[in-house]
Amino acid sequence: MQKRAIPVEFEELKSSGTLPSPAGVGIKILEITRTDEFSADDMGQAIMSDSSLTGRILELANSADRAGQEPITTVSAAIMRLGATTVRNLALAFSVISERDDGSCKAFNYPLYWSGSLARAVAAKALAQHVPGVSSEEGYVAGLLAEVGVLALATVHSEPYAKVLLETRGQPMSVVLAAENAAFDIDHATICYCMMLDWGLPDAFAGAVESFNLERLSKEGAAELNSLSDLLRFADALSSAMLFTATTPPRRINEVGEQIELLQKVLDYSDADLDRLIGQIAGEWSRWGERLDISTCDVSFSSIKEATARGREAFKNEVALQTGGGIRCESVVADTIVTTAEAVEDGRALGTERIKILAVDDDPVALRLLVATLRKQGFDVTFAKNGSEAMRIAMREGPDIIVADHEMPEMSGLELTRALRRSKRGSSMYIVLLTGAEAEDLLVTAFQSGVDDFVQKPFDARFLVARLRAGMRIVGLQRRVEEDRRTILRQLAEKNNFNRRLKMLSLTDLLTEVPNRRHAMERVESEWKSAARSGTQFAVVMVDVDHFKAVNDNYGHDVGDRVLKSTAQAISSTLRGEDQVARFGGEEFLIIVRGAVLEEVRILAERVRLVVEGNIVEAEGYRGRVTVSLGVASFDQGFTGVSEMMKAADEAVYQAKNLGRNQVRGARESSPCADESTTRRLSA
Amino acid sequence: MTPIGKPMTMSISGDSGGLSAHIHSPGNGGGVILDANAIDVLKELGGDDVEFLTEIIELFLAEGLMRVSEMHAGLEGLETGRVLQAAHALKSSSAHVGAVEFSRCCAELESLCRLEDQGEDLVLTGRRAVAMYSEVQTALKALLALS
Repeated sequence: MQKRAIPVEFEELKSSGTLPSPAGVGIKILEITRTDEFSADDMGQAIMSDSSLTGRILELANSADRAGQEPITTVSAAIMRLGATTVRNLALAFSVISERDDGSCKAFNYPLYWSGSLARAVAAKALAQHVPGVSSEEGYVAGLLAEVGVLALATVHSEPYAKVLLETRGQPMSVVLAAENAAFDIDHATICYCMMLDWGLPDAFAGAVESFNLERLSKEGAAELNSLSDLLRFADALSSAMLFTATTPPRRINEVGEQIELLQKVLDYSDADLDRLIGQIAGEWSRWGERLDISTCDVSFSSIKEATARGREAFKNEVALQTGGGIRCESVVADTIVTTAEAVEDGRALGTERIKILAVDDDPVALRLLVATLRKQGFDVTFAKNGSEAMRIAMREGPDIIVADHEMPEMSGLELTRALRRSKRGSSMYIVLLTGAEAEDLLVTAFQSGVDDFVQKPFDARFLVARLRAGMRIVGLQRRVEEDRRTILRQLAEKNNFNRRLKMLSLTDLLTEVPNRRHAMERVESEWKSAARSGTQFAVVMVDVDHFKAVNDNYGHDVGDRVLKSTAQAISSTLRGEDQVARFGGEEFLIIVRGAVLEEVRILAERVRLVVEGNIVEAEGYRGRVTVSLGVASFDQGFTGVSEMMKAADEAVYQAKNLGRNQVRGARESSPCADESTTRRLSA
Repeated sequence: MTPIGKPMTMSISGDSGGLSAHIHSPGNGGGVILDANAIDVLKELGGDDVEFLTEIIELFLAEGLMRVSEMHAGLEGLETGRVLQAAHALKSSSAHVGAVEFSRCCAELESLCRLEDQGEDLVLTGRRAVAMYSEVQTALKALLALS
């Protein structure tokens, strides 16, 4: 299958440099695995340089759904069991999570996004056993990254995307996608697809995730569990149910309830079976949440069922209210479910301009004194009792300064520094190490590892605060640089957006809002080159509105304009996504069709003819239909160039007109009229 | 501001209420058990929080008991690593509560642990540290009773 071209809008997002991406070991893995012939050993070595990543991959490889298999303890064994590609994808997914950051899009709930992604991942992992050809790890990665396109928009276009989210709040996902396209000329489904290809995930994988993003719901009657996109749809329903909040729209709760019922049918599950499944997913969600420091909550099948029933009742009342009758049901829904929403909101409380300091010491006395000293100085202080806890808090809260004891069991201050410096977020933190008097030998190594300053223990408060002032100056400068960077990126994004709109306007027909002749010819030239290079078939269909002059003469130009607009819409509505209609001039349209030979295109043209014929155009003082004559020319007919092909399509339209209009003619078709070559073009 | 954990003076007289009665060590050549100025620094740091000093002392006593038990077990089994860890931890936290002599003893013990040939000094210094802790504990408990 041929890969799709990456749209320029994605390249622009990428050039902002702020798209969510793997970092540290993740980048190294991307480099090692850039080609298909990468060395699994090299990749294993890279993963093992990060102990937490190694632990997560081993945990997944040994998880319950692989019970009965010999436990594995090394990355190379994980590669043997799961396959190099799966391990690579897992490593990248975990790397993206470890780089997560609470961005500045005010309408986007970052913690809830990660809670939902993790819930979807474990649900997909649990359901994967029912999907032929999809491993549980593949399901896990797909679930985790399925909505990364939304995160990308929130990160790169934080302010305009906040507006989009607020305007579409409570609306179905199709409305959100349309609003994204209107604002950015690209939607989260396409972005997600492009990001996955960019990270080297297989096209089929990226395509399945895109398909899920374009259509979130399994259809009644056609529901099945045969592909990765089916899996994501049902996993998404389960994870959404696990995160119902008091503000979840009843419409969404109703949708989720229907999806869960469909899942029960597809799997032939009783309530008891579903209860077990949700229990398993909730347990694993909680365990992974702890491991990845992502908020989760206690949920059960019964609480979900109760909340769903109440939500559906509220939805029914809403519908009844809209259609007249019914009683208004203000009380929504999910207050019986303990949700993560509250914790999530609390976690978003951003600090003021105060400098945030994380104090780390395994000695409770020293830690208490350190915290008291720093708070007395007006710092915003959080604390951790060991290196691992400090790492988690640092990644979650992003302190400006870290004051850490050097000698701590398990993870020393130096190891903590190294781990922080490997991450994007930790790379800019100011780190002060507390050391014993005998630690002079340590200084060189420590500075090389990324420590910014030292203070001797037991610390002198006056001295410590003086050293921290130096740190505050650096933090202040970094904040200014970061602010400038964000401003520049925002201006760049606005400029790109403006340029894109200008370009789009120059290529769009203002009356019918479909592409104009210039755009159409650029596309035909490009399709011709692609066909000549790779043999991909394409065709053009010239469309001319019959008797258009009479419409203009009898009803005026306003009605004529309305006819053209309505005809353009009717043609667009019947085309496939990859085909395109353009206004070619006057009452002429051109359809460009990809991947089809003459006979197939004739069928499509006939469909267009019928749709236009059945389309009622309504304008002031006018209600009627028009017909069209169509001429088809396809690449497989052996034309010598674009102009010959276009001329042939044009001549086929003349033939259709001469033969009585409202019909399709193929280029170079023998004509039933003997004197065809001499016929004059009829009036349109 | 007065430094925390670094005694400004070794004088037995301090400005910590009834503390002076408890800061001499009868069993240790009359050395200072608790530095009164360090206690004042803790009080100053606690400010309006009257419970702060109590909290710090209680934290030290809980942690100290565990560390001294470790130290004792390490000395009994000649496990230098255990002794070193306990001495290192106690060196710092004891200085914060003004147990200056005990902190020095722990520092000495930590240094001995790092030597290749420790000889009998290690055991002797370790036993001295354990005994000193007992005096520090008594002094701090008395201080708690007064506060």
